[in-house]
Amino acid sequence: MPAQQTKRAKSQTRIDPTEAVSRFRDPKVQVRFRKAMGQLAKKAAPLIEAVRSTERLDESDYAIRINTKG
Amino acid sequence: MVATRVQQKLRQQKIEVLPLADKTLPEILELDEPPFLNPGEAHSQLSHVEQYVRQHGGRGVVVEHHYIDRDFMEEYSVFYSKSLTPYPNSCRRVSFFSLDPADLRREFKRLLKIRDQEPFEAASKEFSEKHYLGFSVIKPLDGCPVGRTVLRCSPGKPQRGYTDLFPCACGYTAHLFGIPLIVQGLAFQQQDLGVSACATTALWSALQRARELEESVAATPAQITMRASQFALPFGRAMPSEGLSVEQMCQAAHSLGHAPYLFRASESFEESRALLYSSVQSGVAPVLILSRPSGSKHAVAVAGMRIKSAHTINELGELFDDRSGDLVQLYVHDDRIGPYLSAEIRQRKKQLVLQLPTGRSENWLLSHVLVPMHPKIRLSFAELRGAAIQLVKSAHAHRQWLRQWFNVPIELPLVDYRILKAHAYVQSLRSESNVTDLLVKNLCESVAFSRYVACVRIQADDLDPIDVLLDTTGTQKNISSLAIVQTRNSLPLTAAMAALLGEEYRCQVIS
Repeated sequence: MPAQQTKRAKSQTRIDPTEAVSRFRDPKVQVRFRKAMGQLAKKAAPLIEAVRSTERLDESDYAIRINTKG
Repeated sequence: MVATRVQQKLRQQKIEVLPLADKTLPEILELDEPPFLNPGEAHSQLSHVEQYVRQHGGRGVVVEHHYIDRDFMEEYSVFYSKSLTPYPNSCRRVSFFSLDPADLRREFKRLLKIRDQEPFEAASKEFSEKHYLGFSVIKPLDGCPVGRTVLRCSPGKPQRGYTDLFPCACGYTAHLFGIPLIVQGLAFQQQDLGVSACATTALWSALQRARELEESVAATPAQITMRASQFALPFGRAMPSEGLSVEQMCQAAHSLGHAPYLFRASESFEESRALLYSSVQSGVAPVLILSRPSGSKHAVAVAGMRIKSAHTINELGELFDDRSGDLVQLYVHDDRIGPYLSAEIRQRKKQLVLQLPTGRSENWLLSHVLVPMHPKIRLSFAELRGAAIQLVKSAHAHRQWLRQWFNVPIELPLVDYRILKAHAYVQSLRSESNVTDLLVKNLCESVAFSRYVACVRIQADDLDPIDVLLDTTGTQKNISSLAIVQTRNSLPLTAAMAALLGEEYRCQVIS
């Protein structure tokens, strides 16, 4: 179980969306954000690969004969 | 003179109101056992229908002895009319009710006394909801009598801790004595091995739902088999049915105006379950292609699902909590057995196995899933899942820098996603408590929707549900976001996260 799930404390104050967006536009935050995205991409890659592989089909997938009688 | 007598006989209708208590359904219908089949074999599906009806409180039946069924009429036209045995082209229809015959007659009388149209329709609807359990068309074929059958898709005994959902059900209206009887269900029929085997029948059931979504004429089993075998006959003759290939099923769906979306489901349990969950939740009845170690392949249509009532965490890649982990069971139509079979989902190694409740449990490996989609939906369920993973990634990255500025804790967000008609999304929002009328008004007045929208919902302990609406006419490389819908604003992070996602995905935030 990752540490994140055990953290149930909620921050006390609401974050002002305008302030959040304005800070997000700060180049320093952008760098930090991109770095975080890069790290998270490593975690997401196997998930994305697993889902894309479901759509990699070839002739054998389409040639399956379905004929169960009962 | 002879012709006149035949015409008179054909025009004669006979309607009987009978109890279900004394006799079995094959006995009520006086069905013969065909001599070349094992005892009980021909009527096993009918017995399953009867069992389902009894479990749902069925006490009385109404038998119409002359009923023209479009599906059978086409089967008759292309196949049975050419047999030496002179089969009739008409069927019988049995309607099922949760009332004894005496009460049923009394109710019919009461309804027919209402002369004004509006109160009559309202009373008929109320009567249907209370007492109508559906109908079954009985074909004049001794070996496979169960034709188009629509039974009310309500759960049997509610099992504690679980919820049954039937998003793939359609509304059907039958008329009896001029009374409109409405039932929610998904049509089922028995395989006849003449015009249709399991592949045709499963696709036929699935297309019933597609028909309701787009208000088109439903395809008949005969049409499906003929379209499937129009350009290729890899396994011999089309009729009697020798089964279909997946390619033929796709061909049939395509020629009937649907976009067949196929994915492989034999490699990852989590992915298969997630894609199944999102397609059923989206209300497009998927066709499951199943296989056994012996090599036999089978097809069934999904009508509904059972999920855990209380969500349990299903963590994926330390990124998100996938709602699809709550899926435990599917309700499938198996044309060898009957409608609404509860098929338990099991994991065997990396694969998803369905346990079908036949006499002895049958385990089938889920091999592929075929989803007949509206052609305008270009975004596949796999692409939608990919987009949802990207969104969660962004949400996490935002939290990481927000944490430094605002001391925000990082929780695993709960994610689910589906594709639905734009108006259905608006309706679903309206039905949620805490969603204001103003939000719905703002959404409708400011967002240009695609006919079908994809909705990715992200929520967490510190985040109210945020819906990211995607344009389903986009493709994997060009997915556009339509809007970020901030359903509530009761938790600290919600408004900021909605604004940041809106900024990043270049779309407006509706709050």
